[in-house]
Amino acid sequence: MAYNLFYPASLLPHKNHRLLRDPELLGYFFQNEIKVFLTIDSNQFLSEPGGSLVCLGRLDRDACISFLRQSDGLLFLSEFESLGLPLIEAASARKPVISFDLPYSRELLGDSPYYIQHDFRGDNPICCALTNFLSDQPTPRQSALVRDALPISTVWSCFLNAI
Amino acid sequence: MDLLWAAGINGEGSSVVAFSFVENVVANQDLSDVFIVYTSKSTLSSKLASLTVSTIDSLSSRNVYLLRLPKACRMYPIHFLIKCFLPVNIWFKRCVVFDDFPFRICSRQLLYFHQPNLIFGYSVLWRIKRLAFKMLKPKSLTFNFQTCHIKDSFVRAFGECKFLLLLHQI
Repeated sequence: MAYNLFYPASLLPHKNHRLLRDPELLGYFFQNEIKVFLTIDSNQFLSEPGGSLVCLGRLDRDACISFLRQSDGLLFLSEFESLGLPLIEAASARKPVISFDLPYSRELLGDSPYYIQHDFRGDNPICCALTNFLSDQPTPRQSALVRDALPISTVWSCFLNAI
Repeated sequence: MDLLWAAGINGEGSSVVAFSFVENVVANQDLSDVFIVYTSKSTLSSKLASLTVSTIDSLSSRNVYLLRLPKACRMYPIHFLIKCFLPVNIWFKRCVVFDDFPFRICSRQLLYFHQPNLIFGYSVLWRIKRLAFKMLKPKSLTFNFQTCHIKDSFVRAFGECKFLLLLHQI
């Protein structure tokens, strides 16, 4: 069975697109029929021979949400985030998330993602997280928000009252 | 009148956040006296293009105004000078800023902090921007953080501050 993962992020250093170029990881994608869809231009990130990385170009938010709903999960490799909007969108779409075990993902999604352990020794840590994700098929863990989000109008009032 | 300043943003995530607030001000008939500033040819301006002409026409009756500045105002040196010298207090009672830098001369101001590079960015450019941020940050500034971890990291990098910790629907 083939799997489509979605990684919506601009080509910025902290988004870690370079990790996707690891030959071991590319081999893993090929072997397990995993395709990763990226929201960057193909001329920014040269395609690799196996065709596992697909560049879609920049997408607006609606297109991102629509693509996420059609995919099998969200892959999120960012090193730091102030929030991590795609994580919230994945939780709303009840999609599995594969991300680094970092404070931003822990705070929003708790234990629900398939975490990539930063300090893992041995095999590629992304492959290890993907193996956990694949072993849970066909019913992988859905991500879920662990914090409540307030309505915008309430937040706007709080802003004005605070200053 | 209150100021909603979103002239310096162009990223997809920050534009989604700013647009959700602008949309709320535009759609909520109970809100009045808000001056919204953004720049042309930005992600936010393309999102704002989805607002209908009739919606925009109806805003003036509530004293809600949209001002589109030239694209050049988004360039960091120009943006920095605006934030350094524009005395927004003269025209506006309160100010909510959605881009990276606060106004240096504004006592009642909230900065919606969503630029993690100001804390974690390690390139020379981000080090310079961090310095500019420190120069501009007035003592009375209030921050909004969406998450605890970014608030804690901010305090470690820039010291204690007045803050709100609000995660909102987008």
